[in-house]
Amino acid sequence: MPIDALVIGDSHSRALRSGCNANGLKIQGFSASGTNWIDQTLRFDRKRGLRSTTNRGMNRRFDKIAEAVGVENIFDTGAPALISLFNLGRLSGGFSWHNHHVPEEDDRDADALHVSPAFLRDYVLEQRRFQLGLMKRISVRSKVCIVAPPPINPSPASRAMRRILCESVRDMKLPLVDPLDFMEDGTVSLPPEHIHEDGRHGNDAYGTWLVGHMIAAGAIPKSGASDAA
Amino acid sequence: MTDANPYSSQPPKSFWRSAVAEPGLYRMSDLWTPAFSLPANARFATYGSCFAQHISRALQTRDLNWVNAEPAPGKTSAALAAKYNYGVYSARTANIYTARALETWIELAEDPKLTKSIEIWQDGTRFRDSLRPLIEPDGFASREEAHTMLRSTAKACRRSIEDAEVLVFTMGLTEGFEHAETGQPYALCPGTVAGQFDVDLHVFRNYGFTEILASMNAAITGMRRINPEIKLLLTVSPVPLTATASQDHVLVATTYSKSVLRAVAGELARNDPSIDYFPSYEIISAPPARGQFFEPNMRSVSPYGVSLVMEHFFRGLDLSEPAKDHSPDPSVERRISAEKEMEAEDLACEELLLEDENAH
Repeated sequence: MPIDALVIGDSHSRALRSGCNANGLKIQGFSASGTNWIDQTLRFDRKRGLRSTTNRGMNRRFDKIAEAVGVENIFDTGAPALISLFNLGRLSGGFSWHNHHVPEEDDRDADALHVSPAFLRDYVLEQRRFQLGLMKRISVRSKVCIVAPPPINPSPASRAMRRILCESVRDMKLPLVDPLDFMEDGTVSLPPEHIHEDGRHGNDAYGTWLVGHMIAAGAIPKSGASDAA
Repeated sequence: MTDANPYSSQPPKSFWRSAVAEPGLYRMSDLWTPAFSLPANARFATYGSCFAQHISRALQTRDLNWVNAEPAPGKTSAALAAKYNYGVYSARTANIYTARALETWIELAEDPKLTKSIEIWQDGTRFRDSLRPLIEPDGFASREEAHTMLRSTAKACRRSIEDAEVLVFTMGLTEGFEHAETGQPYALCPGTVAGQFDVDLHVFRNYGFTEILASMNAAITGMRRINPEIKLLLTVSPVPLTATASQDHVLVATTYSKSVLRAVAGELARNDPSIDYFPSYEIISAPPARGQFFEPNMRSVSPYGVSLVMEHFFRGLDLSEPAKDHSPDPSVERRISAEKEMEAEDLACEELLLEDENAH
């Protein structure tokens, strides 16, 4: 069965899948919490696309996706892979252990430790080398569109890290959709009506809004799969 | 008249034959009898010339309380931390070679606002602070950024002094360069690895005994304003000069430099019960070692030499005082709190995905 998009990634990809469905796109998708990607137990597999090194249930899900779209490798469908994989929450966690501040923050806190923008960039890229590498490897096999996570009351560190990851994706010449690009200049957070009740994710309304903008911007080309349905 | 003389009651360690010639290099003992006891859980801050980093490392290896007041963010790899000079000294001061530079760092630790007055060198499109021009591999993006980062380190330096029971300082050089008008010392000669040398603005100084003693006293007074209880353990780096800007041969200049530093350290230790001298210089450079601890360039100290120095250091170190009640390290609390937040985040993600799975 042809599809319009394959949606994969961390828990933020759930809203993306929901938004695709709401916008009438035919999709297949797989979401796993950030830990699975950070621990690198989910890996690129040349034959089948993605495999878990520890979780057979996940591998069965990849097999089911492959079966549903009639390919051996889930990235061979011809549809773009929408990837949400910044794992931003975890990234700012380690950074805060010793009260580190990003350069944008003032230094009135006597105990604050500032890091330089150069260090911060190296730190973020080091922490997310695996995820960025995975995006690159998938992009060799399939069309991709990297989707930045929804900004939800982000700390200055989280904003800076998000910006670095967005720049890095652009530097790799991969298409990137940043929800902030569809919001008014100066906006830093999603409006409350787009925030899931857990306070950490975008909700279905957000997914619908974002995917609508992505379709309008041509970030998700309509392959005809949805029209044929 | 008596047969006794001042030497007859001296212990074996006072005689070259019994203390050095007979035991030989590896069996010498009592090289260092500490001037003071420290609490069992004493916290050490370390600064100084490049040899000082061996002391930082050895303290960490032995699981002693080394104060790291400016650590790299959590989860930073060792390679990345090293690239940005984290974890070398108790704050990211980089090497402090001269007593004059130590005096300046203590002034900054006392009043971090003074960092504004520290000269920043432009290096192409990047900027380097003149107290530690190589602290970041590519320098900073702006003067403002360089000053912000310097202020952050000055505050960390202050915290390291506040937190430590003992500060280990390795004296490195008598030679240095200063700004002709402001008197600000530089870490390195401008124009060597960074900055540009200006014959009208940059002056060479080969600090003498009196000047070094004055700088050390000013630095010690400053440290004690921050932490009146702090003790000081001085060492002299055995690493010879890379180059001299004096008119002397570099070998002669090295001997002069080390002799003066050794004399100042001795003078300070002799007159203040809270200051001690540890003989790392002697262990590496004195005749018993026959120069064997120097690498083929006859300058760098080999790991075997460092190891022997540390062996004597830890053998002599007196940690017999009762452990002190240290206030809890706030970063432990922050780390626990951050980990809890991460767990909550993971749980929220898992729940969201489970909810989604159940819905389909």
